[in-house]
Amino acid sequence: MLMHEKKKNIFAAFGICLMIVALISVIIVSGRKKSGNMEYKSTGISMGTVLNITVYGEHGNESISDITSILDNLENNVISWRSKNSQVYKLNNEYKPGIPYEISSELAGYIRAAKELYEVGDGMLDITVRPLADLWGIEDGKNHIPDKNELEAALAKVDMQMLEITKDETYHEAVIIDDEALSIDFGAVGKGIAIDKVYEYLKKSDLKGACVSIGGSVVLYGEKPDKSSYRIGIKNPRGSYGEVMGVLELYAAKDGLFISTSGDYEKYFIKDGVRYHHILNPQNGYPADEGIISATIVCGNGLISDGLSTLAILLGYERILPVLEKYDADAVIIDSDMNVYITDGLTDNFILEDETYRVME
Amino acid sequence: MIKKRDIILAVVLIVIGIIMMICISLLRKTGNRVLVYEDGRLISSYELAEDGEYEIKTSEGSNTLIIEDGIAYVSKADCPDKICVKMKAISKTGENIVCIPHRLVVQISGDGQSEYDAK
Repeated sequence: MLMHEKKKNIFAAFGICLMIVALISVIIVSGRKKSGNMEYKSTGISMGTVLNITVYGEHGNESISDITSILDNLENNVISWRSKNSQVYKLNNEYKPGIPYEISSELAGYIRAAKELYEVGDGMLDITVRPLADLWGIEDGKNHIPDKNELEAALAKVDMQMLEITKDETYHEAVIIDDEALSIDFGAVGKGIAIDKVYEYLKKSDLKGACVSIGGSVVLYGEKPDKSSYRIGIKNPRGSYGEVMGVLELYAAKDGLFISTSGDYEKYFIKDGVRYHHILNPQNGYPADEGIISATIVCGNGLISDGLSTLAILLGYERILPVLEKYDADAVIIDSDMNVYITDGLTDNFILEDETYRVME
Repeated sequence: MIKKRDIILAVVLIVIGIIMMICISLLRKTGNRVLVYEDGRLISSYELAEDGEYEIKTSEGSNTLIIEDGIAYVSKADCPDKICVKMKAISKTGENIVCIPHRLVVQISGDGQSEYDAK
């Protein structure tokens, strides 16, 4: 009888133990699942470059596919100069010189913004630069160093001043191009337009936070679940692909924050010790040579951040500063001597990780 | 009737249970995996801890993925730009190698936090 009771007690104790263990397991597993469920990530390819999406909130997977299709649609139907169904492709192939060509108000808005950057940037940021880019062939690996005649022929087809946005007689937006050889290529601002589009979507969503990067452009929105800052790595312009030279720690809030980087290291070739990169000066036809090898711009608009990052390479440090001020933008600019210049608004946010660079006070 | 011995036994069993649980959760976190996506679709997945050489075939071409000593990289590819071959070897959660012409993404997945949110 006594033995029997003892056995019973042991079983009871064992049972209780099992229950406690099970309970603890459930708590641990569910806790982990909960925090894991909040974050959704995806890496893919869109607009000819890498698209990274991280969103915080419920229905994250739906948001990821929404964002992906927004960008595919923007590329294929609106701004790509390659895609036969895009508005830009049709415009490039159908317009007649001097005659208003009707375009969507969306496209008109992009062209207007690009035109403003053209004017602000002394004509250095020109979205009609395609013939020049084709001649050099840096994007497709043709890597041709053109002679003087070839450059002159290509430069004759590059002139943003030949392009004007008006309203036609029915008050629709239209573009008038006074030259028959012009073609529009949103290369310098396309990824910026993309993150603006993503931001419009994020603003309307019920997501708590997001970080979406496409190529060298990033939009930050809201906050992470743990309220920590977003860490944006700045690529090492003289390192191997994927290496980082420093980090920007940024908070975004719901207004969104836009970060774009351009540099001479993205697409280039080296011949006889000279680096020929893809950011071409529309005035002399050669790759920009103002001593800037990487420019990261942080501001409140994607198209502006993307455009200014390219413009910084084209204008150089001294000349980009007043432009940054005009747009209330901040920057991390690296020159060819590996000096890093940081504007006042970002000095507390930047952390140097690679000691071969020097932060200038 | 619960005796002192029973309580000791219970405590011992709970301790054993907790130790076992910790072991199980540690075993489950066997480490990072190397995930290979084509056009956003997962096409293969490997243990980062297991050395190997894999031929990744996509509809656009092929890339050779090497996993050795806890790092992964692309050693060969028939894409035009070869950027995937030049990219730094990956080992930490969230790091990736991308071959844009082949629409291929090789990514490390694991429980760790990504070092950067974007770059």
